[in-house]
Amino acid sequence: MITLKSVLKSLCGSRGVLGALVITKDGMLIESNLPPPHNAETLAAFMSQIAVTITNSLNMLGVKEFTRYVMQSGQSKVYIVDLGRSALIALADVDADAGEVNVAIFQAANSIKKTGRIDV
Amino acid sequence: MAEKSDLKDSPAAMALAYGSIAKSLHGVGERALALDLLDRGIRKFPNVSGIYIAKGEILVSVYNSDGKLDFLKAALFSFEHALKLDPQNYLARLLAGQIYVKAGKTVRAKELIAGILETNPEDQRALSLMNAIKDRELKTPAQAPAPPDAEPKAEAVVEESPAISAKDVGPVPSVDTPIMASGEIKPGGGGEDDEDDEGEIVVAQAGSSAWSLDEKVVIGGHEDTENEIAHEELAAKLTLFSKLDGLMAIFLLDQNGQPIKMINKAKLDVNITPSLIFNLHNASINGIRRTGLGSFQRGVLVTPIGTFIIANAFYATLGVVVENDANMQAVEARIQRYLGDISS
Repeated sequence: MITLKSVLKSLCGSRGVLGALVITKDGMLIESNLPPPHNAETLAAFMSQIAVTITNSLNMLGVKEFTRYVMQSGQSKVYIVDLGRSALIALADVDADAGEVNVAIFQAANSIKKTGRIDV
Repeated sequence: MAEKSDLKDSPAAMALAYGSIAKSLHGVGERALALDLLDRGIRKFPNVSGIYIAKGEILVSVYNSDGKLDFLKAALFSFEHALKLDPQNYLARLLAGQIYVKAGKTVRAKELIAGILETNPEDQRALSLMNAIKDRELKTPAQAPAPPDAEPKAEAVVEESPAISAKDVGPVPSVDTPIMASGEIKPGGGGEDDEDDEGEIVVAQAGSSAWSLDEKVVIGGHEDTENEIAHEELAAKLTLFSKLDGLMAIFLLDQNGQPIKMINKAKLDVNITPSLIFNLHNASINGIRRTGLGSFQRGVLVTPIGTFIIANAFYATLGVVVENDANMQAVEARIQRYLGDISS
C-alpha cells in the first residue's frame, strides 16, 4: 500500500533530493522526511505563505492551480508543487540534475494524488 | 523604434508613460500640468491601476509639501480605485494604509497592511505602520465595542472624496497651517475616532501627540534621481530579450512593485501580473532567508498560462514570462546575460 511516508522516502532516495514534506496551504505539516538541520514546521510555515501568494494572484487571473514553483538560493533549490489544498515541498541540492529531480518530484506528486489522503 | 511600437500597441505602456511624464512634470514644479495629464490618462485608460497610483503619489507629494487635506483625500480615492483593479498592489496598500491611519480608520488600515504582511511578514514599512497602529490603539482609552458596521466601508469613505484635478491646484495653505482647517475634514487625534460618523475622513491634528506617525505620508523608494537613472539603464538593456523565442512578457518593477518598463506581447493582465511577480519575489526572499537556505537568487513559477522567471535586478525586480514549451536553457542564458550586463 502506498503511504505518504513511503512516497516521501522514495523521493528522498532520488539523487540530489535532500528532503521533502507535504503541507496544507495554511501551513500545517502533514508528513515530512527532512533531515536536520532543517526544521519541517518552519519550512511548512514559510512555504505555505509563498504558495498562498501564488494562488491568490493566480485566482485573480482565472487560474486555479499552479504546476510548480522552484526557488534557487546559493545553497539549494526548493520545489513547491501544487496538490490542490495541499502542497509538496522538496529540497534539492543546488547542483543536482534539474531534469532528474523534476521527474522524481513529478512522480511523487502523482503518487500522493493517488493516495487520496491529501484533501484535508 | 521598438519603444514607439510598444507605446502604440499597449494601453498599459501608454498609461505607464503618462505616469512617468506626469512625475517628471511634478518634479520640475508643474503640478497642475502633471495632474491634468494624469486626468487625461485616466479618461483614456480607466482600467490600468498604475495611473491611479501615479496620481495618488503626486497628490500625496502635494499634501506633504502643502498640507492641504483635500489632496490627501483625493489620493486615497486614487489608491482605492487602484486596489479595485489590483487588490494585491503593494504601494497602493501601503500608502492608502498610511492615509487611513492618519484618518483614524485603523480597521481598514490594518486590513490593508495585514495583506502586505501576509506576503512578506518582514516588510519594514508595513511592520512599522502596523506597530504605529498598535501603539495608537494601546494609547486609546478603552471604548465600548463598536457595532460591526461602525466603520464605514472603504468605498463609502472614498466615495465622497473630491476629485482633485489640475484646476484645483492653486494657492494652498502654508505648511504651518493647521491641517484641521481644511474643508469638511475634521480634526482628530484623540485616538478613539474609528467610530466617527457619516464616513468623513478624520485626520489627526498637526502636532498631536496622540500618535507617533510623522505628519508626512512616506512614499519612499523611487523618489531619488540616482534610482531613476539606474531604472533607465535597466530598461534600456531589456532589448537583450528581443527575438527570444516563446517570450510572452517582461515586467521590470521598482522597489515598490510599480512597473518601470513592460513588454507585454501576450497581453497578460497589467494590474495583477506585476503584483504577482513583486509579491512572489518578496515572499521568496523572506522564505528562503528565514528557513536558513541562504539568499534567494531565482524563482521559476510554472502555471497553465506560462512560466514566470523572477530575479533580482539590482534596483529592481525582473519578471520574464515565457511559454511553457519555450527553450528554458535559452531563456536562462538570456537572463544571465542581462543580469551580467547590468552588473558590469
